[in-house]
Amino acid sequence: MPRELITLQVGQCGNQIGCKFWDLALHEHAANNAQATFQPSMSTFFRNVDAGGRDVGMPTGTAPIQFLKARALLVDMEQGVLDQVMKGHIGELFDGRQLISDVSGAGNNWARGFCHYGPKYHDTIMEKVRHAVEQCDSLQCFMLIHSLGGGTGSGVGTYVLQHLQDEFPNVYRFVTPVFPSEDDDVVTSPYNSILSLAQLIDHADCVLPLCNDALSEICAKVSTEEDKCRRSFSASAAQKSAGPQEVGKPWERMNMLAAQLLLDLTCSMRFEGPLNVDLNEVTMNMVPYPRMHFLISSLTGSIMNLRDTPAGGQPASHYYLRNMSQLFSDAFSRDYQLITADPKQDLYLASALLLRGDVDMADIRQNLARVQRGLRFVRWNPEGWKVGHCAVPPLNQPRSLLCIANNCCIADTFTELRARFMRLYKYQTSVVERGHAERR
Amino acid sequence: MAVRPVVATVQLGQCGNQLGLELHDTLLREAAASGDAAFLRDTQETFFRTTETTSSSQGKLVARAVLVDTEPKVVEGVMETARRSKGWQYDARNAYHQQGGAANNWSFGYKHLGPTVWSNVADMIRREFEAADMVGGVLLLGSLAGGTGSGVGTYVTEMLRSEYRKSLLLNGVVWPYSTGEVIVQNYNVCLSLSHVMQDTDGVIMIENDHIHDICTKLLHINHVTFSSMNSVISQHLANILLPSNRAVSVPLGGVSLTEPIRNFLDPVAHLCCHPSYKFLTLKTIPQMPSNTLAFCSNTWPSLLKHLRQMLIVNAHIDEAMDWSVQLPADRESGILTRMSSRVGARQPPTPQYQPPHHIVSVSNMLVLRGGQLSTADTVPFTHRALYAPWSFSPLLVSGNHWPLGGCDKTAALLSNSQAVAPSIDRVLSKALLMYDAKAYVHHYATHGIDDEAFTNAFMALEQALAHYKELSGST
Repeated sequence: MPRELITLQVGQCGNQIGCKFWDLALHEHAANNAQATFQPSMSTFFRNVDAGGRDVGMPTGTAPIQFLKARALLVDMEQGVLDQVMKGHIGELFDGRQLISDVSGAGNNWARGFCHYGPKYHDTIMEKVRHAVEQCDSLQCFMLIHSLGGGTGSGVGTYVLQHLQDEFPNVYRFVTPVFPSEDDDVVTSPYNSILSLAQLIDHADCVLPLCNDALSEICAKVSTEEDKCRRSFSASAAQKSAGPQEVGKPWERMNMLAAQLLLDLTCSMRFEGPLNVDLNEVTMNMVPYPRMHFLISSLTGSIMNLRDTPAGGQPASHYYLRNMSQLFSDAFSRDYQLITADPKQDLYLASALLLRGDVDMADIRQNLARVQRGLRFVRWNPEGWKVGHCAVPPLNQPRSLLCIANNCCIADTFTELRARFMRLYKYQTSVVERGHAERR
Repeated sequence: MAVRPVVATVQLGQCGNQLGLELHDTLLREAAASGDAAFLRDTQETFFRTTETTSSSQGKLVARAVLVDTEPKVVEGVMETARRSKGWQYDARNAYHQQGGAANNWSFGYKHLGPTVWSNVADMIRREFEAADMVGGVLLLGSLAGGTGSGVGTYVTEMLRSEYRKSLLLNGVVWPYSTGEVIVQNYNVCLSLSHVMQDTDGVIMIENDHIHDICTKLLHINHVTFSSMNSVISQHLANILLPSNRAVSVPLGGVSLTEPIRNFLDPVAHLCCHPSYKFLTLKTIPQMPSNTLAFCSNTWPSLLKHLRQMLIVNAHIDEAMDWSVQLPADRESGILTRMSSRVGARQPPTPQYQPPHHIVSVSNMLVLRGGQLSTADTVPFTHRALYAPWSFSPLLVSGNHWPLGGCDKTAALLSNSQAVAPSIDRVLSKALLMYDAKAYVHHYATHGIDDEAFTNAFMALEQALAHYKELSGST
């Protein structure tokens, strides 16, 4: 039985990404499970329960699926998003005991989330976490999904992270935070993000940041490329594309990217392959010094079906296949990074390549040698590669490549966030000082 | 019928288990292909046992193997594959796996997981030995890059040594690609080798880079996978593990097979006669694509000439070799008598160290399989310059008439020589470079491998490397 992973989705953004993640996870497992039996690979994310909510035996691969429940906790300090989730088509994956909510929200205030709601719901949250942990046979990792710009995701999320470390020090903590963009509509997002980052440095094992700007650019680029390919493929294909142009809202496609990242990261834990890579191996190889655990990721291959929801439509594989060389080139290009960064221009400390599907070792080694020539690695790790290969491909595509890098270009992102923080802080300080001066 | 000593195999981690499956299958397949019942029986008795035939089922062939991993998928997959598609299977009681994986962390595997693994595996090995009439030894298979084969494997080796002081231990270790499979692989290789070399009797080094070259350049395999590489490694190991007879060179050239080698691990004791020299390399010739095997007609003189040059220049394939490197021409035949006269004679130290042109060995084992052995002249392998002056009867030749791998003649050279030095040097340099920056050491420190442990490991491996490099200075 493979190792379990508990997901904690905190705040509006965290829950929206989380829901897309569960949707995609269900489809991925369904595509690899024609007999609808509870496979061992499913027990990483799901439990098989009976009508009373009790676990149904061990996952041997022969027991039929009765009811699936996600190994997840959904936290939000306002009810709107959680209500939508429970009413939606994946609502059955969760039961009421997995939800923690309040009414008034954190008001985009990290301190309200960290210092008020955190302690207020501390006992409830930790009890539910303990309950979820007891349902695991061999828990490997907590996965926290949240955004840093608001109040709940940032404040409550980082509060919970700290206590997860205290109570379960041997369980890895992977965090997927969404960094706010330059033109974020939350005024206090610079404060929220810097205060959260301090917590992430101290209490996370691995952080894979995402950035809205980068995600939307990737979506736009891929949509344009797919349109071109569809039109050049055949006239009838052009007619098909004259139908509904976009599937889902832009946010949905961006959330799908984030969800695909998590699925590709964990595929080796769930499925077989010639070269397995677990999350603990990712931490071991990618984190040379304890506090330098911010990893930049890029996805290629599995994102090519963005325009088609898994439920219907022509798979993009008919129109837009990338071969291995193209996948490798894309993975190191700034256009496919999930945060706004250009790692090729900066120094690599370590890099991991997680491949899925139909690839062979000779191709990997050739492309690795080719790509390495254009990259700068730190002097004590000149060939700093960790390679993994999972045999099961992503949905609708024959192969994909997830590249995770510990690269110094993340310093630019931190510098930018700090600059925004200082601009706001100086302005606010000057307003307060002016107020004091006027009163005197 | 004389009793054959048995060999128990311990398969560690993903690499060890996948390789072990392929190895057992190859041993059985090659022995069956020979057509000789005694050969097949000897192979089966050494590596397998037969379960009892009951009224409801036939006796089955069960590998004398213990499967160990720190995560479940591979062990379960390997057992299932054997049960479904091979004519033999593993004993279901001999599989032990944990859940969490070893995280590519040698210290986690050695300090944390090792004791738990051993407490389960000790009984399995004892059971295998009790089922045998005579115990030969243990063959451990695993890779050095990860956490299980390296860390857990080192702990199991140490425990086996303390539990079975008189049995032979042979470690078959797979080196990762030098361009990286695991970032901390150099640390793991250094820590493993420095510990294992104290307790084992011999370490056979198998390098992924070399095997990959064989697959692409000689076997012309287009899509090289780990599965194809495991097949090649298994063929190489089968060459030295399958039963063979001790051979002697006859005065006018040619080889005469005398008595059978009773315990195949005894040659390891011959090869690793000195405690400072335990690293072995394996070269095999010829390596041919399967579609050309039917058309090959090699001669022993040609094969042995190429194999000797592979030894001299440390080539892993017999392609594009440097033939300009030759042994000194002034010392020729009469090797054995000259060697015995040199023992005890003091030679003055050479005034200036000359870098070696050829590889110097401690001892070699040559295994010849195929017909027309009377035409195989192995005397060139006894050339004095090939060996350190203190090497006593450094060449062991064995073989038999049954060809291997569909090829009418194959020769394998298991060598305790300087051939290991470049790889150890390379890995040590990279590990020291990374250690200088103290990168990744916090992961090891969490589980008890501190600065002192690292320093001791590096020193021990540097010492072993120095011993091998000194071999050329002493000729």
